[in-house]
Amino acid sequence: MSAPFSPPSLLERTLVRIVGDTPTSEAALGDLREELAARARGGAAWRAWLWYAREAWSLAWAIGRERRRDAAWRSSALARRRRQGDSIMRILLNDMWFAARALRRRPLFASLVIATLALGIGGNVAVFSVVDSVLLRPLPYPDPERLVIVWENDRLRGTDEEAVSAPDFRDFTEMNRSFAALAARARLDRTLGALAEPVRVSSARVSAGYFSLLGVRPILGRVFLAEEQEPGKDGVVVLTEGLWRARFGADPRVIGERVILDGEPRSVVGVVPAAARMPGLRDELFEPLAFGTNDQFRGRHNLRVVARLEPEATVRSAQADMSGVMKRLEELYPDDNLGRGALVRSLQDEVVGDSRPALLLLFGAVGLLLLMACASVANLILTRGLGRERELAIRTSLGAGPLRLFRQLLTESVLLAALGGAAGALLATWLVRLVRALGPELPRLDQASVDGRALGFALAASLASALVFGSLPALRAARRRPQAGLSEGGRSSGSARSQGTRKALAAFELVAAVVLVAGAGLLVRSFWKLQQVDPGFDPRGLLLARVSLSGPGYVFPKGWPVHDWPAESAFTEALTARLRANPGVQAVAFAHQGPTDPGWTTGVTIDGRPAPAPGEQDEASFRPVSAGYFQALGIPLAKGREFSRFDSAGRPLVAVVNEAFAARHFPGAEPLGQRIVVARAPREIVGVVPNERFSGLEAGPATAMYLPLAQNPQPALVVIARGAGSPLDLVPALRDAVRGIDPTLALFEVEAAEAALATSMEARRFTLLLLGTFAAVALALAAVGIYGVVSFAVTDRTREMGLRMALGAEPRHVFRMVVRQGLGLSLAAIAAGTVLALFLGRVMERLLFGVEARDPVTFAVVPAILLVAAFLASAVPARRATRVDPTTALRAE
Amino acid sequence: MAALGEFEQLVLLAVLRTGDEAYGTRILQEIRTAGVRRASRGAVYVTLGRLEEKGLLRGRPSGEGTSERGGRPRRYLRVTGDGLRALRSSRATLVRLWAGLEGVLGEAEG
Repeated sequence: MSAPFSPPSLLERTLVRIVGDTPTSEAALGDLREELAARARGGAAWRAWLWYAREAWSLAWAIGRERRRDAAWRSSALARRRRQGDSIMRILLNDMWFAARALRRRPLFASLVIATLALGIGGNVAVFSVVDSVLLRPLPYPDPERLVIVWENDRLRGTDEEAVSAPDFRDFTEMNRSFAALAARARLDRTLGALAEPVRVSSARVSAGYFSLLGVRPILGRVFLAEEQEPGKDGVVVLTEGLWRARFGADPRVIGERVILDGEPRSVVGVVPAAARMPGLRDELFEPLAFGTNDQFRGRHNLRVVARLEPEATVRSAQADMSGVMKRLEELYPDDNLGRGALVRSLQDEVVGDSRPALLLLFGAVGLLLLMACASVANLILTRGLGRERELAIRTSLGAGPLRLFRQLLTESVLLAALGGAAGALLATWLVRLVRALGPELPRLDQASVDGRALGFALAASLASALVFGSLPALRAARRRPQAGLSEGGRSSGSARSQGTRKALAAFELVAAVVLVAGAGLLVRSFWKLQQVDPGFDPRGLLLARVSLSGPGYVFPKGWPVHDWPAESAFTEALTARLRANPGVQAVAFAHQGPTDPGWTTGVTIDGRPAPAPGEQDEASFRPVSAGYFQALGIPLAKGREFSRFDSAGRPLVAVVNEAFAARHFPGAEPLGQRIVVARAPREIVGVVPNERFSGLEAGPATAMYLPLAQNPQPALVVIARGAGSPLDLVPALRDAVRGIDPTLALFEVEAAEAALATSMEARRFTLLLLGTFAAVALALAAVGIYGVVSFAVTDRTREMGLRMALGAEPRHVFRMVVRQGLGLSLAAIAAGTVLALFLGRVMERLLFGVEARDPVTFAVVPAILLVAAFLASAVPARRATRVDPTTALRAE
Repeated sequence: MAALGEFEQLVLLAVLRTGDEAYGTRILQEIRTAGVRRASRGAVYVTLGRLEEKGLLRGRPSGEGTSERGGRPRRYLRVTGDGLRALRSSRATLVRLWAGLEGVLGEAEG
């Protein structure tokens, strides 16, 4: 059984201090805990917490008051005199108690302030905690700042972040002068057999020294020996801790055990912690990277290179060094390396690079929100302070010294800040949990937890604002002559200066709200535009699943290029027949990559045109697909025909190209009947199809060539099935069919095409959701700010309104007068905010899609929304002003 | 002896009604189900403490506190002889004062 549900210890300790440790109090605390546990078992946890907070408050209030009363009873006049020399602690507690009573008398004010602070602090702490965990916290390696990734780039084709070829990697190792060590790794999918059920695992082949370079030590057994990096001696694997726990029951006897990897026996030599996989990758096991005959080609780029800098080297000096190395390689091997350079980037940047702009934007937004929260609280406290001048005056005339009053008001502010901070901390814990559960796949997000520094910072900020703005009315009260407050008959009258301060605060809130709402507006427009993009295929009812034909029954033919693989044809035909027998299946097709997978590109030339200069050859996405692929995906043919079962091995080689390809290579000409040369073989173009957005909806359409799978067999396949209902309903039938053909084959990455598309927009949706929430809160805070200022002015001028109405002013005139006052302030602030937002929009440019940072629609709609909010916030007190009864207003004097 | 307050009477009666089960949470429930729905937890415990101090209730902790209760045992309460006398006297006073007023106030409602 898990530990009993218990209240936060800080809260409980505070409660104990208040209610004391008498037998009754002890019993009361026990009862409270017991019932909390019972409620948590029976229902939602948050409801139990709410209940606990209410009941704890009730206990603290009643028992605390009783204890004070007892103390007062016991203290005689003598004791009271002695108390004048009381400890500071006692005075503070006394003030605290008094402040709590004062707040309890104005629950609306107190809860507004606490809720505002909780939103500001909670939001900030949550976002900071995520930013810290994803962006700021160092990677889990010794000296992580010295780790870099080395990419290649290609200035002829304008690509960067390309993988490195094995010969280039070996030359890097020998020629560089910047790195203490270099290691290479290549990812591949494997089927892990010899278990109850074959599973698909993500494996990494790693070169010698990979683990020691990262500084990762095995938790069991050992890592690879130098001689195991040679072909023939590489029959060993190292498991990651996760795979070891999930599939081997964390059994330490696994060392020396045999496992079957794609049909070949391997022995397990060690287990490494999760840190051994590079951040953002999902390696489950490691194999030695033994350079075989396949790794002689300089044009085959399949390695990811990680390196550790020499103590005196920097990323910049290493970049210069590697650019020099690539220049020499370019001269030595122009056929393969013409135009290729190197790109050195720190591992930390590599890991967090893509999420940085969005996270920084959110961080900025939530910081603005904290400022707004502070302004709001300041405004509330100022307004409240004005309303209490009479009370303070009475207390001064009864003998309370200025210092005493000042201290008292300050204590109230501090108490408010502390309560708001506590609520904010709770909110932050909850928000971080929510983000971890619902957030997109960000590297290291799973390690996010509420950060003590962030909590401290936000608390300090709100405390400071409470102190500053709590002290203003306190100072004024302390300076004031009591008669002034009393003689005004209790009518609160803010001095011109404080009314000015409050207007400025409300205006600031509006400015900030415009900025936040405009940012959210731009993201909403981007999201909307993105959803308008046609993916090029019909994802409804479409199921995608990967399968890899490997093992003894599926030996890929030797030689290159391969145009016939009977084992694959047999598999696809058998699976098609089995699936077709199921009435729920409307269409079946196969492809090397699914419709949302960019796949890879390969060189292409047009038959009959002069050969391009070395290194300047054009490339296009290489997409082997089965007969019926376009029909199954709902891609209409623009021209010609699609592949049929007659486009098989031994028949004339054919190809279908997309419109982007046709436009690039045959502008204004007829592409049908032209011949393209791919993988050394010429093929006739028999059809043209519209562009599929396989590189993602945000990328523009890319050029693509589709080739018949039967003429271009591939061991890695995607099975595509279209059903009438939910695509996931087809999964059991698909699994049965594959198992019926060959039980050693594992299906993996089974998903609905619609889900795959949604995943590609997940990060964007999440940013939008967060910023949208901030904007909504900002709008609410700004509206409350305007409401406060206008409402206060109305109260202040009740007498004037009454007089005006008595003299014949129509209610609508009064209404217009009040609203005009509120809107005058708002218009100026909204204009200023719009100008600011236009400038700040530029920092968002990288997050926008299909929308300018100065999008006219957004910048027309957002000020209008703010204006409506400001109007409503002024209209409420204005209506109240029109209902002033002249006689009452005048008699009040 | 000073007369019982109204809430004190309610609490004493609730203790009697819950019998062997008379500890904080049960007593609070009894008072709430009897119609005083807004009876606050704090007020009930303060009153329990005060009645014990006056000798109208006697409390005893029941064994060890479980970990679910944070190691704090339940405190079971029993009305003392003085408690019963105080209740009777309060009731007698009330009955005397009510007598003859049925015409003005109508029958007591449930």
